[in-house]
Amino acid sequence: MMRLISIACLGAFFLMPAMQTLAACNSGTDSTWGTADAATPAMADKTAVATPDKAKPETVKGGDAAMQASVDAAQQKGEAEADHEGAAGTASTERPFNMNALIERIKESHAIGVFTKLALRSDALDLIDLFKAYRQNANHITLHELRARFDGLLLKALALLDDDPALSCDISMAREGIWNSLLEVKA
Amino acid sequence: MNTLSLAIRGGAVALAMTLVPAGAFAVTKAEDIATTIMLRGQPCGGNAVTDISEQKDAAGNTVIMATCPNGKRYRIDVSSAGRVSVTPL
Repeated sequence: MMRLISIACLGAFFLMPAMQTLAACNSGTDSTWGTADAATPAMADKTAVATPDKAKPETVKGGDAAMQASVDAAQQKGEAEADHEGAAGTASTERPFNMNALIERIKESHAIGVFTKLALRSDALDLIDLFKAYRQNANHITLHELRARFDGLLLKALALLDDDPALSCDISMAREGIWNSLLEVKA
Repeated sequence: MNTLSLAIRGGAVALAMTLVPAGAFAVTKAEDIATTIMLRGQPCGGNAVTDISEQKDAAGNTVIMATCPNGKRYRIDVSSAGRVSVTPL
């Protein structure tokens, strides 16, 4: 009897975290999302929380006609994808996220080394430089190409954070929010 | 009594294993550098480098030399600002 109880306990201990992570990633009602903000309450208060809905109007304000058209196209594409995902998907994309909390979690993650983190940071800074150049019309890069580079970088990060599934899941769900934050980068 | 102690020990081991997060097993420096080389678009042919030499200057810039499993040697420059560049030697 006691052996059965101990086996049941072992099973519960091993299965529960994996089940929670899977459920969190699939349903969008995760506990890790909340813990990121709860772990850094001061930061959560200080930093601006960017939501896709808030970001969109600001993005369109300062641009020229061509850029506005491409941004509108991207927004329509995003909305179409959100509609396609259904109610649960729409709810997950509309949730606010804390960029600084995500960055802190990447810094503290043991899934990747220091040099890898610095290389990822360099890639991110290169992407931000491209966004600035795009704003200034300094290069002939299109918003579509920027999105492709962004997706590539995000995929790299997600692949590298394979050993930290909770963080990987949260970054994946914050994809549109991060993209909208990048669209707000000033020239 | 034996089954009780076995159950307690099993529970303790399970608890200890769940308390250690999955990402707590840090990557080695050799793996870290190999990942960095591949991340910057250079072929490496494996997930760990060998013959690592590291130098740091007064300005805070770090220069790392390492050899990949495919035999290629690379120079990794880490500027004081944190920018990483990889050049094959």
